Amino acid sequence: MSAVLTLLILNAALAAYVYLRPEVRDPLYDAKQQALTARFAAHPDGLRVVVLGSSRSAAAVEPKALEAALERETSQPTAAFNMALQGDGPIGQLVHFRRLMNAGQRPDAMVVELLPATFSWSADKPYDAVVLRPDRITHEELETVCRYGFPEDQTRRGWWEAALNPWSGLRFQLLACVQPKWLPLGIVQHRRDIGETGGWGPWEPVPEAVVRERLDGVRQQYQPELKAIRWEGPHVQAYEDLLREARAAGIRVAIVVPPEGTEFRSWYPPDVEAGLTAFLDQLRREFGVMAVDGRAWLPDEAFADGHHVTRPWAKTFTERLTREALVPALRRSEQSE
Amino acid sequence: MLFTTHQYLIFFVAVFALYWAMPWPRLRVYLLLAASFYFYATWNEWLALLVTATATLDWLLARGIEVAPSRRIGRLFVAVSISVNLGVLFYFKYTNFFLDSLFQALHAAGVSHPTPVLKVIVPFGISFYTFEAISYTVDVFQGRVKAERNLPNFLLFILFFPHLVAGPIVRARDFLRQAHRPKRWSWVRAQHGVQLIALGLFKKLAIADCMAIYSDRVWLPGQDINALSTQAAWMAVIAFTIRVYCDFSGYSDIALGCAHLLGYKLTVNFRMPYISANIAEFWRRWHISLSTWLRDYIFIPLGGSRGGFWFTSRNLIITFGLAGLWHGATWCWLVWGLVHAFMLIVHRAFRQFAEARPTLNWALETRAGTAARILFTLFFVTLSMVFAQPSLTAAVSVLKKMFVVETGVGLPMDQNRLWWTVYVVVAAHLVVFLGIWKWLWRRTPGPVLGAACALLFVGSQVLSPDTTNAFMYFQF
Repeated sequence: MSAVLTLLILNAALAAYVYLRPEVRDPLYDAKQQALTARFAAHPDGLRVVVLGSSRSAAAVEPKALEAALERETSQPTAAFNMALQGDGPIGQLVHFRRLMNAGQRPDAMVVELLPATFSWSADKPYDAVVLRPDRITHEELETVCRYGFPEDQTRRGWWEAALNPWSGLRFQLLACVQPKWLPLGIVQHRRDIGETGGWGPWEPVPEAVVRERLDGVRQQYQPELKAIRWEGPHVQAYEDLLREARAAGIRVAIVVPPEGTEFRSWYPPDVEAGLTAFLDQLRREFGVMAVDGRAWLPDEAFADGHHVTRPWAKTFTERLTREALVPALRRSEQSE
Repeated sequence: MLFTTHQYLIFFVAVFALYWAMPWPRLRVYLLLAASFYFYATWNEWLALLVTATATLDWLLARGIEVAPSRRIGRLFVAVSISVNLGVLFYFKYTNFFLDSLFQALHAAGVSHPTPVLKVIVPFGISFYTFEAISYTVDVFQGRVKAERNLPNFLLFILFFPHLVAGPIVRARDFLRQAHRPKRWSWVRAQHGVQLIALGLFKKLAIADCMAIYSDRVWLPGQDINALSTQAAWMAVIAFTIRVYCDFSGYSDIALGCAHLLGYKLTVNFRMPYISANIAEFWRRWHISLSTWLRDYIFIPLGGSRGGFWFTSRNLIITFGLAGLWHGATWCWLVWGLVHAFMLIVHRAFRQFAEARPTLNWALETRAGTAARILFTLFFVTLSMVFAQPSLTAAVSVLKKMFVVETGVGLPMDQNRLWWTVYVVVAAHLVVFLGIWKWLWRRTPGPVLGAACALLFVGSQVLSPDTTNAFMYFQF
């Protein structure tokens, strides 16, 4: 009896805590948002730039380099923050963008990643459904993700299981608080460690042999996903809604396809390549955004595993991105105003 | 339906509530029977029907044995029962193994013909309920147990969901008596059941499933074992040794706990096997329901240890060879069984040698001697685990990796968690071995123990990795 009672009390206590502090569901996002708020508060008059995307953009875009490059080009003081999160695809980006807006942190400009792999659709669900687990989102966001193609029964069941039995549903978030090294691989690492200043999460350079070994694993993971990419459907709708909402909020957007090594680029089926080019054209036309394909911008030695940029090369990439996408996006917007 | 899922929790709570709320105790057997059938049918309804049909046949044959006009006809009924049960087992579990072995031999002899593969699903727990059914008809024939007159009671003996898919292998004389007895609610028993469930869940979710992350680097088919470093190979084997024990004993604890909550007592399956001082003791502590079954229905009928050294050795080889094949239809599992037979033979020889030398015997019986024997036994049991997998080639590669020092890649996850798990498992064994647990048990108030169970349950959930691994022994 006391076992059942203790269990009920522990469950109710944690459930109540999560209800009052929903941010504990997504600790990395929360830590980044807090850092972003502090950074923007410290630069109230500057141009505020936010980067949305996955770990690819988290590694490739160095906020300090972006600030310096943008200040050089526009002569405006700039505060940039890299809000990219591990595994964030189009639906995850939309969810996190809305959270940012609800928190009153409207940026002046955004770099929005377009990572083709996150547009895959397999086992009747979008890529985001694997990474943006129901335990990470609020009840309101649950409705959002279900609208954008998450498997409804499974997602709702997962959300309620996490809400009613939070010790199980939020176990990775809890474990990350006490022993982050014990988190299993292949899941979002819920560490509150936001990386370096400005949310940058650089990858360190490794010997060629290690890169080769990692690339084998990357191939196993990504080759099937690249074949399953679909340039239409609810996940594409989510990406377009993100751009639509950004435009409505007066945020200038630069879209970037992040850099990849030669081998990684060779895994794209031809129809997916053609689809990507067409999709970028469509976004340029429909939303008036700057959209650049940066996949071939860096040499192969710039990657730690064939697709994550290493620390020394992030600056090179960031400067080019600023020059070729962000600055034109800002200028285009000024002209239209 | 896994014991560790929310689905099972809802199922069990519903069955438990209905069971004890039922005003007509006689109907409880029917409720458990329906629940057990549903439990198996959630995986495959046709195979649930097959298990029910073979069990019904065994019930009829046992009745026939009891009323048979002569011993010869009774023997015929036993033969039919054994043939049907083993026939089903062979068809589902061993056909592909024998076809594969036959065609490999033919290929070696120069005959080229593609190996035919029979597309069958191996029913969960088939080895467990087959052994239960065989032991029942044999026991009825030998007069050790009376044939059950009530079909629902007998079907419940085979289908009872806590033990259906991975044991313990229950005996008719233990179970059927309980099925007849009216059930009364007992708080003490319920408390014991909850404690066992909490402990089992912790073993499975917090320990076994986590150790799987390390051991899968070696045990999952298709892994590049040659790329591993020697240290990684040893760690994977240690992780597997912990995993296999915590997975199976965790399952058994949950099964026993659930059965207790429904008023049934199942056979204890594990008694801390890793503190065994020799391999014979290990088999008295490890998978007890299987080892006693093998002893009673194979080893003793073969003549047991009543003959000389070579006669006993032959019986051990046959018994453990079959035990290996019972675990899995591969040559590697057969080798695993033979390795254990060999260890038992060596142990018998050494015991005779030591008994003739009082000083050596005394030294072995001291605390230091016992500790050394425990470590020695654990070392060889750990080594034998290398063969507990489908591929003999992979097993040999792992052994080579372990004993030829080489550099290579490490295991996928940080080692810190593996070593903490080792410390926890060792500490838990010491707490029980040194009697601290019993001491604590007697002095801790019930509510505190209950709260500790809840904390253990919460801990098992927090430490559980993402993957919901099925229990390893389901495949047997």
